[in-house]
Amino acid sequence: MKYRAVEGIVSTTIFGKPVLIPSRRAMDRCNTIQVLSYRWAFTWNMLEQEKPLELILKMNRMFCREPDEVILEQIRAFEADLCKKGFLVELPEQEEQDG
Amino acid sequence: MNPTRIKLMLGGVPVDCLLRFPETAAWFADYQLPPGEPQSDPVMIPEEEWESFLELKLGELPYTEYSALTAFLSDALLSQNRVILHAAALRWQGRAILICGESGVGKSTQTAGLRRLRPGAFGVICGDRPILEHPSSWERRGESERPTVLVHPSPWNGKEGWHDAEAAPLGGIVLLSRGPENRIAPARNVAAAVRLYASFIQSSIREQNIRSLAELATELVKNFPVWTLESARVPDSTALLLETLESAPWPEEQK
Repeated sequence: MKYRAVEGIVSTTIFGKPVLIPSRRAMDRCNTIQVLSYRWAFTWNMLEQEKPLELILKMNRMFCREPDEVILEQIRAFEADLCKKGFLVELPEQEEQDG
Repeated sequence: MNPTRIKLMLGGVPVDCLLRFPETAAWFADYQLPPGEPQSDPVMIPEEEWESFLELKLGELPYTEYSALTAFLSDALLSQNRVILHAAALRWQGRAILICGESGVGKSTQTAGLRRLRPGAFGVICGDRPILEHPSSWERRGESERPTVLVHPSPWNGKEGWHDAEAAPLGGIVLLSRGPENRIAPARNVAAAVRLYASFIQSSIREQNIRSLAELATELVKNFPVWTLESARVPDSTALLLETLESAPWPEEQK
């Protein structure tokens, strides 16, 4: 699943790759304190613009960390919260295929 | 609340800062400008950020204020091409080596290990949150010319309090994590840039700042040697890092 960033989520690039990074405003409205500790993880999550579970597993493999259910749950909840509050919009399947 | 005003010199930039607790000033003692010394256009925490800072619940703990100010001062310094980042900054052969990584990953352990393996060879510019001074433009004048980035000490030195008084030109960056085995590898890729981005300290209030820091992470990874170091055991991983640093083809002008 891909996302389209709306207000509060900054769409930019890192090393030529599109990334979505939550601003403070988005974080404040959501589950900030839990997520801030894992900011890099979340940034990675947004970088890939996929669902968190696969991403975190990918990240865990990359950084050789044991999967941590607590972190997964926090990030999943944060992402859902961002969608619910309108900071992230899931792209319809057709748009996702288009690009 | 009667805020206390202090005048600081951070990364070569005069900064005007208001404190909620007068006791917080003690942590900035080495960086305070003498009272009455003229300052040209000091940097201040912008109003929007300052309001956010005031909204933070700090309790009655000056230490919390000292720590929380980092993000807001880092934002303020961004207009002067400076940013505070979470890293141990070592001085080695006239250049700065940054060891970046999450809290508790072993930055101080690696720093202490390098100093033990090569007594007198490694200094510490800043033990926890150095200030990076970067160019306003990353355009190179010549193919071999590397833009100069300076690593400055700061008032945030970590629990060991390691710091010295002088800046050094950035030489390279080590992205440290824990792993099942000791491994070091060059990393000139998007994952390295993302990890470096995450080490920048910021309030994330202004979207333009987020874009600027994303660009800075990209340019640093493009222009400087970056390694990922996975550490399973010290001192073996430290020896691996030392061997890598000592065998790297450093530009002559940095020695």
